[in-house]
Amino acid sequence: MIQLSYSQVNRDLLKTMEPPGKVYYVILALDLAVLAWGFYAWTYQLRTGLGVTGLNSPVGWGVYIATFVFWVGIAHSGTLISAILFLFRCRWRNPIYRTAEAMTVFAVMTAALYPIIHLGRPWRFYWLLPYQQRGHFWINFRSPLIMDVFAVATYFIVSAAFFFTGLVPDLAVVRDKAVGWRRKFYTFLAQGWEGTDREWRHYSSAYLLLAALATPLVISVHSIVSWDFALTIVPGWHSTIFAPYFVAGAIHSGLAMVLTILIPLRRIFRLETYITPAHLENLAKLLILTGLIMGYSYGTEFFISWYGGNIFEQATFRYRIVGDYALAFWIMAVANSVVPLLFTVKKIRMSVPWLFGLSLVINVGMWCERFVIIIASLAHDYIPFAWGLYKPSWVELSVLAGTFAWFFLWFLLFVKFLPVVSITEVKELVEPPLKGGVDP
Amino acid sequence: MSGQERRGELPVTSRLLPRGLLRLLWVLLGTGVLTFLLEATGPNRLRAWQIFLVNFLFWSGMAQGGLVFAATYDVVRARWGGAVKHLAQGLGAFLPVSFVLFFLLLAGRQVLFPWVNQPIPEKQAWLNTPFLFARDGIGLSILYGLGLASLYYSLRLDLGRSVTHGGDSLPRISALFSRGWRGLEEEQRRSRRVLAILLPIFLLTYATVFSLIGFDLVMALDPRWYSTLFGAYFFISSFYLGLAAIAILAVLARRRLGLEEQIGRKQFHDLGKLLFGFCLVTGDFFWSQFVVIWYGNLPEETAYLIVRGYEMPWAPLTWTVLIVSFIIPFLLLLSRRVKESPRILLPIALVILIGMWIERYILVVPSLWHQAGLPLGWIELLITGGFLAAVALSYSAFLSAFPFPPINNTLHGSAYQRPSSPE
Amino acid sequence: MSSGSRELLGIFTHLDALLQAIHRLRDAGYRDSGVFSPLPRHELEEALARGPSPVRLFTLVGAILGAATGFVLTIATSLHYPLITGGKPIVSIPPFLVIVFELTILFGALATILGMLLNIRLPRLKLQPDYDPRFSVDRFGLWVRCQGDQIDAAQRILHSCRAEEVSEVLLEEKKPRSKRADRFILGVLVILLGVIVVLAYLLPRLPVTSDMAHQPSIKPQEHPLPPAPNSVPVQGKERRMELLEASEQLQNPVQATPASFEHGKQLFQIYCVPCHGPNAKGKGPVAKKLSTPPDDLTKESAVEQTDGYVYTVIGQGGATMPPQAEGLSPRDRWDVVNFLRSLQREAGAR
Repeated sequence: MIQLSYSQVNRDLLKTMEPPGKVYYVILALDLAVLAWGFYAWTYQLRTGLGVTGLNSPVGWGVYIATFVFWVGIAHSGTLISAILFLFRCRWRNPIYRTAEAMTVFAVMTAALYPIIHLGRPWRFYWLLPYQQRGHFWINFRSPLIMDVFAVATYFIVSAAFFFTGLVPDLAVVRDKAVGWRRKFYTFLAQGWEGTDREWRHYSSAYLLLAALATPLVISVHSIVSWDFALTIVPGWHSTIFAPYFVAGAIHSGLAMVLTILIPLRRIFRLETYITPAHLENLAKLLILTGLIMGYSYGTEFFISWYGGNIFEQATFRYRIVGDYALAFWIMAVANSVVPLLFTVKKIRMSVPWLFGLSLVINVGMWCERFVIIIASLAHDYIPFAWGLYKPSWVELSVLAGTFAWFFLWFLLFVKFLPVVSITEVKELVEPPLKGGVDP
Repeated sequence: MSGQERRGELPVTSRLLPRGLLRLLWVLLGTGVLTFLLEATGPNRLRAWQIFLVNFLFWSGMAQGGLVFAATYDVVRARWGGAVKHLAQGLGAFLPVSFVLFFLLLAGRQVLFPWVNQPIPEKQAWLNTPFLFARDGIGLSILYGLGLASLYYSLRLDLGRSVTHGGDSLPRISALFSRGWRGLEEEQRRSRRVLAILLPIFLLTYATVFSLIGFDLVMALDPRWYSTLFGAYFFISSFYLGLAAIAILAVLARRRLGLEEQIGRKQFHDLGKLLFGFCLVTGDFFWSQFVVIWYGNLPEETAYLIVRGYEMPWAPLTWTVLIVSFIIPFLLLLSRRVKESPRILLPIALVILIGMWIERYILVVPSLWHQAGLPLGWIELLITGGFLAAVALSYSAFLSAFPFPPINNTLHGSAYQRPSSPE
Repeated sequence: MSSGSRELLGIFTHLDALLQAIHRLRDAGYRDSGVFSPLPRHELEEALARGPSPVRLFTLVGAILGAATGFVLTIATSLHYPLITGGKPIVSIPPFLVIVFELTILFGALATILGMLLNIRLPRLKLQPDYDPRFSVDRFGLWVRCQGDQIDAAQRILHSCRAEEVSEVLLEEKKPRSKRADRFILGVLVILLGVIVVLAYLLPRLPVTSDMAHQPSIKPQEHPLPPAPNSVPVQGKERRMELLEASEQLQNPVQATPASFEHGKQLFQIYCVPCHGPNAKGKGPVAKKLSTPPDDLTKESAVEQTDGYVYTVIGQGGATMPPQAEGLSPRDRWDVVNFLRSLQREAGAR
């Protein structure tokens, strides 16, 4: 990177925002079609009732809630890369953090849909807010579900604010290049940023503070999501390790998703100079770490369920391994804790196709983990009398596909409307122009 | 890079403690050992053994914490404070002692482990003397072996560099470490290769083995209680108290050894941030267990908390720990000025350390002590003093045996910035 | 500012030249100056020596405010709406702390943004006249404001440090800064926010939908309305029959198809196996705990009973057997009967 100049950086990175080609519109159209199908399935569910899903007693939380947890988790690694690595002064994050941060915002936007889709009467979602309803209901602050509302809302607001704050200097760059309506649009978005020393001084300070606030926040959010489960006494859920385990799992899945997104992105936009194999390698190394934490957590859970001597816990964990959802369990166990270990081999870690393929495997594994944790425990809890099986219906799967399309829709818009690599922060990695020597 | 190393200002071998204090420490060590031997066979057997276990866990955790700090420092290729790393490595000198002390527990198993005399049938497969000592003994020997091996490779490089820089009066043990020296380039390549494999494995082993120790030597003291996160809490809190110890050593070493150049404002700022971070992580791990147990309200889980948090004489101690080791450091370390000032950092770290000692005490003792009153008196004080002396003596032996490596802190901050700025 | 005040802008390509110019201007006594740069550089910050930014005070105040809000919101409203849930105290500090934490972060972050915007006087739409679009690419700008008679000296300094261009900025243009446009935007935003808040408060209260929440019986702490006497569910009510009557009159309306068999088997395993055992011999895992052992359903006296009899026993229960009508619909019960028959045949064949 040392050879680059500031103007070169501007030229290269603004290129991603040039008018898109035909392929882009085809992909966009496909995406919109899937989204429309998902939306149709949802309206069908609204008209007919939740009976069209596979949800029933005893499994009242199915694909919707599992995918909610999945998406909130995906969001986490964006904050890890943008905030936590920033605090640790890991400068390699600079070229990739914008994409990761955008992923965070869009993933939270996707995740937040699920609890609402899951409601029988979604127009009543505001009953979850501290707001006096008709009939004088008031929310129950002792419920982990209310904590969830606060956590996810805070997470969305803070990460969107953090994302936008990081964008402002780049928006000024775009503004200065743009013409026509785009110029007006970006003039509005850039809010009059000029890059004065005064602006930079307060901006840097605010950015650091936001990173410092986002770090504990991100840990709290998935902890709280995990407490939706752990605070009950359902076997397989009531476990003290859940909070850190979910946080690690969230980052694990998110890192895999960052790889899944970054690899095509750098290929399509020819960003190989900026997003080098070294960046991907670092992500892979982080995946080894989180994968090890996952392995540790799985192991400890099994050990304690055996050591604790609680027969219900033991039965639940046996059911996970050999029961109806054993396939999902084994996918999760292998994909999350064994597959990342492949990255210890330098050749695999340095090979882009391998990284891409394995990142997909880990994504699937993490989705399976959410599924196994939620559904296997509900399907077989204390009394055999109340056991039951759950199978997602076509409506749930369609909505699932639709929300994926929703996520990628935002992403498709993002790559054309905003710089996908932070221009300003890449410049920070470039040697400043020096004339050399000091004049008398 | 080597052009910037300023060798001359560094102490070759260093005496952290004055001679008088050293003599006092030997006396303290003797008294501690004597008290333990007398009491462990007398009527106060339980008091002697339980405080022995508390101190074993505390000081071994601290020694491990030091090595883990040094290993993490190298694994993430940090460059902000080489001197701090060397100070942290010194804590590892206690490990051989700790290893011996672990097997001493075998003699006290009747007193310490309730399941020896009243076995629990469904847990007997796990909680039985031969298996417990075998697995923990093997675990600890692997862990300590890896720790000492990584220490060797790391120190060998530092020492070798001192030799090539013309270190003349190196102590004998240093000569042992730098035997067969094959030139700086070659050695650097070799130890980098070895450490790249050794250190991650060491850190992994630390997490695993310390979880095991936490489960076996702390959690199983109350054989009916269990918490999945306890192992992770145990190794994280051990690292936290290790960090507090490192902060104290950094302040002392800076003052006593004249390391103002090497351990300055920025190093303290980073240490303060780490301390703050791990205060939060340890607190979070405590909270994650507490809130789940509080909500679930299952008798087999809550009993452990109720005894410690709500019943006399333990409750005041528990609250003390929460306040001095978590709440106060959290509030104070928010401020950048506090983090950067050694004068304020020293008392904070000291208070954290004392709080964490009480925390180890509160984890262990209420499970064993079922009589009236608080077992905290002269016996406990003297035995703890003995441990403190053992750690301090091994530490000072380390510092006088191994000179500070030539430390290059000019790369503080971000590595990409060119060091030459105009003027 | 006096009328004699003028402003110069130097554009630089090289960072070190810029730094040199800053230092020289400082040394020459020019205090009122500033820099444009495409990226933050710590050298610039050091050279300008502006001191720490006050944004962190905003963060601190915001965070404290958020924590206070969290405590007040949770504790006060819970005391106001004292409904015990989950056996937890009305004021439960552990869960409330979580809300407090989230609000601390939220308010802290919002206050940080607010502090930043206030301190750098953003947002605005019009740029200052001395701004040059090259500043967002690769050029650095250094402006200096001084008395008219000092401007030549300043110009010389800028030139001596190899400024690429040096020009004078017309201050008349710079002063007004189109404050009215900014105020207009701010006003619009505030009004918009107000409207949103009012709508958010009012809209959900409009009686748009009609459903359970509105019906007269659902007031807090009230019983629901009892069903009208002699009312019958839509799908028709099952007539309660005596055992004898049922065994003679009831016919099995469900064919023993494989589907019925499979369904019956599944239900049998859920509802019957715990006591009667997997092959209906009365040896289920729960049977051991019962003082009256469950019947062996494969014995002759059981086989001889009509389908209607078995059906009614399943629905109404037996001596110790609990009635299952609540969990099993009539169709379910017939399926169980069909499955049971096959079990009996199997046992008989053996």
